[in-house]
Order: sequence, then structure tokens, then C-alpha cells
Amino acid sequence: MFNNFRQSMAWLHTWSGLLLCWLLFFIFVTGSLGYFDNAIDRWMKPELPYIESFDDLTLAIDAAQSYLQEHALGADSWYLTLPEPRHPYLHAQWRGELNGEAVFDGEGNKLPHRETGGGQWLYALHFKLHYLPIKFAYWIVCGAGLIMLIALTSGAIIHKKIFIDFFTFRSGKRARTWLDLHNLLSVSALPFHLMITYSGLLFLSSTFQKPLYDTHYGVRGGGYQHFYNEFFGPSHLPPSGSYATPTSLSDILADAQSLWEGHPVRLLTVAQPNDKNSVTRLIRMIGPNVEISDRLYYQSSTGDPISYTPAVSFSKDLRMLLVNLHEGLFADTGLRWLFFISGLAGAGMIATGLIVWMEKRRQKREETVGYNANEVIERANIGVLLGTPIAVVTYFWANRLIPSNWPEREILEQNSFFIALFGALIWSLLRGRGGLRHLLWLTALLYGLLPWVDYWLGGAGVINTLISGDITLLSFNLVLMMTAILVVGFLIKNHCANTIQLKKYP
Amino acid sequence: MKRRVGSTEVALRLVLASVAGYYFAVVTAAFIAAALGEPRAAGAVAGALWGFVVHTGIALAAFAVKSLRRFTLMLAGCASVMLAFLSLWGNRFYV
Repeated sequence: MFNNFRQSMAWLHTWSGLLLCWLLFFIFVTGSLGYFDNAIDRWMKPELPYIESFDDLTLAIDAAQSYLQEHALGADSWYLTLPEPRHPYLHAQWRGELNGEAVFDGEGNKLPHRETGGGQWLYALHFKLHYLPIKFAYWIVCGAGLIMLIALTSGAIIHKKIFIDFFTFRSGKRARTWLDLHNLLSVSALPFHLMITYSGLLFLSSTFQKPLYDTHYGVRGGGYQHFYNEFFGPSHLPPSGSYATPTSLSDILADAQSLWEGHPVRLLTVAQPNDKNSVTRLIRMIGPNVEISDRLYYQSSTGDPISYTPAVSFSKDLRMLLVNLHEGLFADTGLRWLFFISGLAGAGMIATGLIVWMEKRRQKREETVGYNANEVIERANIGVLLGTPIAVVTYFWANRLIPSNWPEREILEQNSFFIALFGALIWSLLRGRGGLRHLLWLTALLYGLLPWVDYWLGGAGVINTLISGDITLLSFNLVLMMTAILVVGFLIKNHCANTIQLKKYP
Repeated sequence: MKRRVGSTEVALRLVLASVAGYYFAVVTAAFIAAALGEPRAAGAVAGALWGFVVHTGIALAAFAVKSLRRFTLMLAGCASVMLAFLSLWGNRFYV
């Protein structure tokens, strides 16, 4: 297409990057927030008390089981997330025809809290996209992931001098400055970007590469489910049609913990809880190791272990390694922050790439009279790049402002996210570069005021979390305020630069 | 020196990158899965792992090659060989 390979790749990098950049930016922002889903959950459920350690797991499991048998026996599956330092509660969820959740403390008390999607909804946005049918969303996200992989690969190829580019930053030169920032953000977290994109694709391979599983296992008999049972173990047995209730889950847990020599169990699931063939699955957490896929299976009605031979191979290990790296569940606080910052660097890389593209066309655009498509794209860029963080913080504001007993408040919270996003988009489309300043000020105000409004509404706020030593909530509030300070700093710097320019060229 | 890129040419390359890329990703994945044999799940995973690499590779190649016709013919040749292999041996795992 061009005279040389590098030119072709530069062209491909530019256009593949632009194709789904808004969606990719959205995915990177919401996905990065997923590394702190439990912290966001805690902030969004202020009714939950601060617990330093969990007293008695058996008591809590028994209480949760009684509650589930009473309220969720007809559900397809139960999920019990066991307490850990980041989330010191027993979290019970049920899915299927019946849906719901309940939180228990170490004494088996059900802890009341407001109805909210919390951090889990925010994290799931990056692959479910909301409002769309789930399979359709998976296809869109997978397509975006592939384009990201192409943009990353071609981007790495076009850098002749990757190390020189990395250490070069020329400030105050508009397009050149943004390009240097784009290079810096891309190169500094390139291994992370490659890992997160490729492992994300693997996550969704059951949808995107469905023909593979159908060819390999046959369309009849549920190709992917067959693969899943072989790969992970018999998590679902064919339903018997006979009614039975699960035996004591705390006994099953005790048995699993003795087999795993005391390693903490992370998740306990019960599939088809009211069927005789119900299966209880336990997944353990192995300290700082990336591998967390150790599983045990029990027949729920009898408590007998189900033996199975897991598929052992290099490809399985590699897949598990990549998928676990993507989720980052093994990561301690420091590594989690690194994942979060790298994810935001990915969002920054996309944003700066967009700005570079627009800056390069600015002169041509300014010379054009009347309608200009580039002008519309620039306005939309501003709307999406600022609309996404505004939408996130609006979701937090909605959590505090909607009364806790409001019917279907969870849905209202979620809708507020998209209302803010589209509101910002429309505002920037109408106001252009003037809208940029408005949206930046709005971002700073929403982020900066939230911790104080939270305190005023009876929440923990900064001072109380500092006194109680609740690092999770304190960090959450500090991140909000830091974001506001950064945005205000950017606005002030930009204002000064504009003033200098006006004095120079009145 | 850069030359102006025609929209028809871009569209053709885009079709090759997306449709042929997807087709090859899935066929290569099925090919690897069938060739690896047992354990069956591990074969499927290996196929999936390589499938995305193949798709990316074809997408990059579709925009890098000078002769579109030669590239298309080469892809068609590879596809025929793979399809022949799959139709002969690929379905031995059908349940």
C-alpha cells in the first residue's frame, strides 16, 4: 500500500486506533476501576460497618445457607464470596430466575445495605457494556480488543527508536508534546497493554471463537459447556429432576480446607441448589501466586467429593496464567495499584493518540469555512474523553443522593452514569472548545466536592476514615480529591499558557 | 514518499483483514486443536491461543503486502489445504 513496511504500519496504527477508540477508552477506564471493585463496593455501601477481622466463618456460612434456602432455593446458582482483607464480609449472591445478594458478618448477622450495583457493576461494564444483549456486547468488545491488538503491534513496529522516544518529552509544542506523551504512556506500560488485550480476548474466546468449540466438541450436546466441564471440572451435572436440598456447606468447606492444608478458599458456588445432582464448587486462593484455579467439587446433596481428572497441559497453564493476570485477583495492594495505573496509562494512551490526530488536522480545520467533519470529531472526542470520568463520578454522586429506600434505585444509579456520559457528549458537540473548559471545571467540582458532600450526608468522609484507620475508604476519598487537583492544575496551566500566547500575539 | 490511498483498496484490505482474518483464526484454531489431539480441552485452548495471533498477523499482513492479488491467492491456497485436512480428520472428535 505504501513504499515500505513501516509506512504501511503507521497508516494502519493511525486508522485502527481511531476506529473504536472511544469504546476502547471506555473499556480501559471502567476495566481499570475493576481492580478496586471491592473498595468501590465498600464506599457505595456505607451502611456496612468497618470490620478488621472476620470472627467465625462457620457461623457466617451456616447463616448464609439458611438465608439462601429460605429466599433463593429456586435460583440457578448460589455464589458465596468468602471474606478476605480487601472485603471482610461473607457475600452471598444468587443468579438465574431469582437474583439478589446479601452480606453477612462474622457472627452470622445479615448486614443491611442500600441496593446498588457498586463496584461490581462498574467493573462489569468493560465487557457487558450495559443495555445490550450480552452476546452482542461480547462480540463488540472482542472486536475492539482485536483492533487494540493490531494497533499495539503496529505501534510497536513503527517506532524506530523506541528508547529515544521513551526518554523524549518536548513540552509546549502542541501536537509534538501530545505525541511524546502518547509514546511515553504507550511504551512505559506496553507489556501490560499487550497482556491485558490478549488475555481479554481469551476471556471472550467462547463467544468469538465459537466455531472452534463447535467443531471440536460438536454442536449437539453444548460444545462450549462440554469443553468447560473438561477444562475446569464438572461444575454442572445434568439435572436429575429429583428435589434435594444441599447438605451443610460449612462441612464441605471444612473438608476442602483440610485437603488444601488450610489455604483460604475464595469462592464457593452451588449449581442447581434444589436438585439432587447439584454440584458445590470451591476455588482456593494461593497467597501471592498468580495461579488461583485450584478447584474441588462436591455433590451438594450428600457432601461427597466428585473426582475428576483435570486436563493438564502447557496451553491450559498458559491460558490460566494470562486470565489470572488479567483479573489480578492474586495481587496485593501495591501490585493492584500498579495494575490500576497501567490501565489508566492505557486509557491515557488512547486519549493522547486521539488528541495527536486532531492536532495534526487543526490548521487545515481552522482554514475551512462552514461544516467540517474534523470539527465534529474533535467535539465528540472531548465529550467522550471527559464524559467517561464524569459518568463514573456521577454514578458515585447518584449513590449518595438517591434515597436508600428508593424503589429500583440500583437501576436509577446505573442510568445516571449514561445520562451523564451522553449529557457531556451533547454539551461538547454544542459548545466545542468552550465546552472543554466547562466539562473540565465540572469534572474538578464533582470529584473535589464528593468526599465533603459524603461527609455532610453522614458518610465517613476524609477525617473520620483517617481517625478510624480505614485505609480503603481513605484512599478512595484521596483519589477523588487528587483527580480534582490534577484537573484544576491542568486548567490553570492551560489558562496561563493561553494568556502568554495572547500577550505574544494579540 | 506517501501516496494517496484509494478507498476501494482500503475497503478490500479491510475485508481481507477482518473476514479472512477471522476465518483463518477459527480454521487455524480448529486445525491446531485437531492436530494436538488429547487432552481435548487443552487442544481447544491451544487453538484459541493461536487463533488470535493468526488473526492479528493476517490483519497486519493485509495492510502491509504490496500485491493484494498475490496475497489473496496465497490465503485461498492455505484455506483449501486446511479445509481438506479438517474435512478428513477434524471431525473425529465429534460427539
